[in-house]
Amino acid sequence: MQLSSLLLAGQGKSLTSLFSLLYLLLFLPACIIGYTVTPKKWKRYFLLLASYGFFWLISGELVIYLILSTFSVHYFGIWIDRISQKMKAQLSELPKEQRKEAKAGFVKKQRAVITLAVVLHIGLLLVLKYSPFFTTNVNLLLSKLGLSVKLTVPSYLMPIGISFFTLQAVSYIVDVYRGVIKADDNIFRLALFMSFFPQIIEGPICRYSETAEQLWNVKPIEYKNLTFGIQRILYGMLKKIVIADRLTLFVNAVFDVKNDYEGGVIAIGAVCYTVQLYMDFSGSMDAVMGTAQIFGITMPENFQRPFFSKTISEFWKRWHISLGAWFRDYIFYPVTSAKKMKKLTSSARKKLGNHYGPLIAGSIALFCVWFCNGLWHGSAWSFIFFGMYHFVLILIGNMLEPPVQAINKKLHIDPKWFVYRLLQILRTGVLVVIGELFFRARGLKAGMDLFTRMVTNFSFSTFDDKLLKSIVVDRYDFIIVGITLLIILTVSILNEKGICIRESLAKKNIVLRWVLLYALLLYIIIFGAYGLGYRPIDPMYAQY
Amino acid sequence: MERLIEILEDIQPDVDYANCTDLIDGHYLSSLSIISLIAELEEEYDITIPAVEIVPDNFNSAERIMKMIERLQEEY
Amino acid sequence: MPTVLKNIFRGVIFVLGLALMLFLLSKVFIPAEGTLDDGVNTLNSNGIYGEDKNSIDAIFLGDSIVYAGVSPLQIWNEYGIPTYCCSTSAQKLWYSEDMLRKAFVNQSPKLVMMETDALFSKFNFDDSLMHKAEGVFPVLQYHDRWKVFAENTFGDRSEVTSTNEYKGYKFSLVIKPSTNLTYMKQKLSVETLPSRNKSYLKEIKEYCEEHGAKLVLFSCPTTKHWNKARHDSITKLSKELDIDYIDINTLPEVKMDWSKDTRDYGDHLNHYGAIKVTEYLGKYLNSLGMFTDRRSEPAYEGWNKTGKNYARKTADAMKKAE
Repeated sequence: MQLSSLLLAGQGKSLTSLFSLLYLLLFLPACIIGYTVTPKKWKRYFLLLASYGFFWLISGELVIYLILSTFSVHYFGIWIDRISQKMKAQLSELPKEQRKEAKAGFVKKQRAVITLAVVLHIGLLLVLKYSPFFTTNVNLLLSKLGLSVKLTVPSYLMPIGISFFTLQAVSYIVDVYRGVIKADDNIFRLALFMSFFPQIIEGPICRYSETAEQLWNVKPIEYKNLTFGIQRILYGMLKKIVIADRLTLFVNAVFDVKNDYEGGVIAIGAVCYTVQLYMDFSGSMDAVMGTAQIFGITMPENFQRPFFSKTISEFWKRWHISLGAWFRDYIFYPVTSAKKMKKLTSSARKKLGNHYGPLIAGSIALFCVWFCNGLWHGSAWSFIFFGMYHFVLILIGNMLEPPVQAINKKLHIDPKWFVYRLLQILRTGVLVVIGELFFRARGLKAGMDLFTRMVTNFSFSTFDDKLLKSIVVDRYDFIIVGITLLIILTVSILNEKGICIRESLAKKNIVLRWVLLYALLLYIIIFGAYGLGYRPIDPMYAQY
Repeated sequence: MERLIEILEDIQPDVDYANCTDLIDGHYLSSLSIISLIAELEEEYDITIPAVEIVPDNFNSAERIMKMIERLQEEY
Repeated sequence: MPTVLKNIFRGVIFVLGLALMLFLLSKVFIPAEGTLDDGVNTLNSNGIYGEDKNSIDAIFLGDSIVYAGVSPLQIWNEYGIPTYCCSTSAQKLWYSEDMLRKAFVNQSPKLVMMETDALFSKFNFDDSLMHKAEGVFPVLQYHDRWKVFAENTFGDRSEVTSTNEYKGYKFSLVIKPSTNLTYMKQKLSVETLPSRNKSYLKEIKEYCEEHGAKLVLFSCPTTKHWNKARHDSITKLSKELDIDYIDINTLPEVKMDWSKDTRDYGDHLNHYGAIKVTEYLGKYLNSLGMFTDRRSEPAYEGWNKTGKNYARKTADAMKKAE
């Protein structure tokens, strides 16, 4: 721990943020140089070493969880693969009629192995993350029942990023079981897939088929990748340091301090928090993607301009994409394709028709997804409420689809009409902001309280310079956030139209490119919310 | 093949199933339609479609769906 | 290979260009010394700029513990020694060093009293690197002044020299008692100073010596931040570095009443606690024999006035509170 305490003495371990100077000016450059001087066939091991070094620097001896997880899935993968091989060998010797029966036996065995693996990994996560919440609630229940028994509330040291690498581990092992990928016989390749340093804190949750080979067959750093990667990190910095960090004081005042702000102020606070969360999280993702790009690795995108979504269900296909995809592939489809569910769908379809028939099974699966999604974000009732809120919204959206379509047809409203789409986007935005209000509130009760006050006392009469001054912000903070949001909105609209700005800029002459780059850097340096009076927020998603 | 197109039209009409090659990517089939479709296909062709097969690539055209069905039927 | 060299060359030019721009911007952003904008976040402690040249004889350095627990005007009223609290909330050692240098710009205090809580306050790599960078490119420290420029363009705001009527002390009559009465008895573990903090302390000591000031360490009573382990650690350190050290937590003559003397459960003192601690510190300063009573000097008429004002205001507020 000598080195680690030297670099990281302090309450804030600065390396947990990819925007810290420690990461940007020391760790990353050191990695780039080390990577470049390492001979080609050792580069992959250098990345592995750097990744473990990074994880050790932020988590210390808790790195053992990552090592154990890696060994465990490696072993389970090989085990499942062995059973498959044995099955193939035996089945080819049997006559066709007996094959089905013989196969069933092997499948049963594989099922047992995969169940064990999933239970172990998810179980560890559950114990570490949720047992305090669980025992607290059991105690509450016991005392309500008048029993004097009390369980001790456990507290565990949880390594940062465990939620992310556990989901990666589970997706790997399930994919091996499903035959999507072959079990990896090389523990180092698997270890690199599990631990690649930029993504270990906040994701994205990658699939083995997406990144493992890329990471293993890394190429030397190319000039274009290096510059594009750095630009992407800077773009993330713009989001995080200019917008997210600047909104902290105001958001904290609304949500953390006991006060009696009127509804309008709470609404502004909720909007600011939603903006802050998006800028923080997607900005961090830019830093992750940018870092990966420097090393020539393409990671799956985690955001696709979510605030252009027309429905809640579309929103969740564009926000934290890798988590949504994980729930879809490992919870939604398995639940809907369970035998009983399929029967339910067939019979319901005959009675209820094409739309409402499959909705029953779909909704049951959706409920499971959103329950897990809520819990994944944290062990508290407010998070479960957050999950259920979105479940209900999507359910209502599904239920209303046919009548709304009918009405539109009657009134001759074209759903592709610009104004109609804009209204849909606005409505979705409002619903998301309400959800984030509960997400950010300190507990479910506080959230309900804020929400009630927001709706019952909706006015902006006290929102003035005096109120801002009491929170130590001023109108200039909002002006600069607004201007920066406009810049990002412009880039987003262009991206949405399929125009890649970076590619077209790269073709321009060097003077223009440098002027733009200098402008971006100086913009961040002058308008960034850092230094005395500002406290940078920790990466928001690192705690999940 | 004709039977398959009949099933598809029963679930979601007004799509040119014979020629369309981006049923999923073009958002012609929603996830709810997929759930119905899978239940129907399993009943009709006596196969099991495991969750792993539910990927856009297998559902983007009637032809692809047929290919998947044939493959699953052949499996022992 | 030549393309690689060319690219590296390009990168170097780019960074040099950036450095030049930061240098030029710094000229624009750095505020006139002693104005309100020079440290907008530390108004109370920056009031020292508004004091007459070479008028302060001793300063108190440290974090919020100091401005909650030491009242310069009480010392003035009793002993006629002009002092000032150069303390800012959550002050880190690099900032203490900064504060010290700022104090010596216009003043030449003979004594620097440094509170020990800040010695244990850790800071990370980013903090200290940023601090060094701010030294080279002040725009990094004063970048927020774009707001002032905006204001001056659209409204009017002049640069004002700040003063502080209580000489850096923060007055509070809130009472929230502490129940941790055995904090100086339990010995949790040995607490050592982070090595980076120790080297800062050494620098501060050298700076004081170079400028002819005596450095004394003192620990203000707080049940939340202080304990036996920290006491032992500082005692040892002060011997090692040959610095005088007084721990008011251990002094029987300062009779703290933790049911009344703190405003936030033993974290900071309130005015009742500050009176006791200041009384002791005044006595201590006076006993050093370094200072003369300046109450009759004509240059200090202003001090007499603010001192009286302070005495009246605080007495009124205390009466009202009862």
